[in-house]
Amino acid sequence: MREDAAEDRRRFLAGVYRESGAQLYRYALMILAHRGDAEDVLQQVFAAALGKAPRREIADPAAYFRTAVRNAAYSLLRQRRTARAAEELLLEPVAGGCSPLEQAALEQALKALPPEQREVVHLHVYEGMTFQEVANATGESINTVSARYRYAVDKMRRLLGPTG
Amino acid sequence: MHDDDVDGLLRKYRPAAPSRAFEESLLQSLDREILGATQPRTWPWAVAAAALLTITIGLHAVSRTPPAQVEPALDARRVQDLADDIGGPHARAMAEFIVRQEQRANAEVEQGRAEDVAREAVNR
Repeated sequence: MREDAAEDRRRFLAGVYRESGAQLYRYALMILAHRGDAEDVLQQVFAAALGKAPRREIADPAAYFRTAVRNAAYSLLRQRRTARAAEELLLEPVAGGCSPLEQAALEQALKALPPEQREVVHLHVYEGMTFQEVANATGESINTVSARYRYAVDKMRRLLGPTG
Repeated sequence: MHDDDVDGLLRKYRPAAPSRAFEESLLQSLDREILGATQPRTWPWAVAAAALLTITIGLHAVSRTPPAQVEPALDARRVQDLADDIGGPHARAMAEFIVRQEQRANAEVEQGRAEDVAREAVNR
């Protein structure tokens, strides 16, 4: 009985990871701008879910785990207080015509943003959410979300100006 | 550069995927955690049983061990006499060994006699 429940949980969590683990990792990576930290956050979230995630209590696993990753990522940032310097790549090309120089400039511009702005950029651009959906996911008002996106794009435009 | 250019540039890339090693490690850790949670926790009982058994055997052994025999002091005069008779560099050690054996033999004889007396007394 107990083994059945545990096996059920394992299958559930493994399924969640297979289905949205990469997406959750990318979300954590864009908030934290550090691959090691993103890995730590995912490990922490899944380990915590093992202890308290009966399948039936999670109606929307994608939303549940996105929120858990978000909370863990910001919690880690609060503990750290200062951002960790990371030379590693945050991005990978998905289209033709990319260049290492362009990618490096874009990465530098993204790393220069506050985590909250990077988060909005990620959810809007890479997860295809509307500002309203981003607001729902983050618990912020739609005005705050759209302002963060605008500030982010403004700053990136300035930073990318010479190379763009 | 315009806002649309920034948006277009962002869409040529995406955040990096997790490494294969990390994914495998995470899935393995899920298996390990689940395995740990489902294993019946017999080991604390086994350890407790082993400890109890050890204590029981130890106490039993201690209770059965006769009290340490107090070795009577060697007869110094007898040792000296023997050492003088033997002579040489190891005479003293040899004399002590011989006297100790003699005293033990005498003690056993004395104990045997005492037991015989006691047995006769009981028989009467």
